[in-house]
Amino acid sequence: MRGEHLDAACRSWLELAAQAREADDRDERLAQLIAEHLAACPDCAASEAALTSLIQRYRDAAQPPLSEQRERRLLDLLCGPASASLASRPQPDR
Amino acid sequence: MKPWDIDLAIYEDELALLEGLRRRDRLACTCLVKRFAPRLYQLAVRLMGDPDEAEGVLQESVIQACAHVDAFQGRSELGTWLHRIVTNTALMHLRRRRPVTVDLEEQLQRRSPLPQALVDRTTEPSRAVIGAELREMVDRAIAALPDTLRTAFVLREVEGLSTKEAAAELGISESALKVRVHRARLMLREALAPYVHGEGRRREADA
Repeated sequence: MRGEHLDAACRSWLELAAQAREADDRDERLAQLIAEHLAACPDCAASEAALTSLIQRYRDAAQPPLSEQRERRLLDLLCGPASASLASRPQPDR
Repeated sequence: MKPWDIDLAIYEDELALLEGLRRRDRLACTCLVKRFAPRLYQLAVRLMGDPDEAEGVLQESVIQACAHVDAFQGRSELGTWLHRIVTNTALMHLRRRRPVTVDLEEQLQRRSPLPQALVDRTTEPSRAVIGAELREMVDRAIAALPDTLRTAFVLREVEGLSTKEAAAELGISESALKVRVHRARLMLREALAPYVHGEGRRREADA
């Protein structure tokens, strides 16, 4: 059963991922190790593909609108005297 | 007239909207909110993992944008500029949070499986549409990720930034970004297991 897969065959990989630090050299090695594992493990590859499909649909899905209450609070703040009081800094273009 | 009752067509054109913002026209600020706030709020919610904190981020971001619109030089679209302001503001808020260390194995052991009733069945036969229930499930799973993993995952996988762009936003190396995204995906695979496995079976059946 796929639901039990991660608790058995991939435990050593999970432990490595959990213990890894984010120093650049180790990150590079770990990223490579993970990519190799995903390429070689059919179960992980299938789960990754399914997750990718789900996330793609999630990205494309219409999001619920900003609630009227939150929008009104924002507009009240923006159009009222409080708008000048927040500390701010310039933002560069991207 | 209340600010939320305005005619959005007044500033339909982005250049006109920018001019209005530079004149500090309140109607232009309102148009900005009407046009961009829903999308920006979703970004803030995904980055912060909390609707109320996201509202604070949105408020601060929009006020900053209106106050500093003169600094916007038009090298990107207005929406892209606003997206970056929200991202930076959210990251600043997240850095103020107390750092949390996460043991992935402990997280996986602690996580109880989602009840089967949450598995979305409403998308059949059209898989192009995601059901509201499933979307909320994904929202919750993303919100439950540790801050560092959630921000990496949202910027790269949900917002569609390149690895280089997302790494730059977060101030980390591209390798570190990749590892964080992998870790986030691993946790999401577990959190969304009932759906992911069902999706996998459907994909196999299609093959």
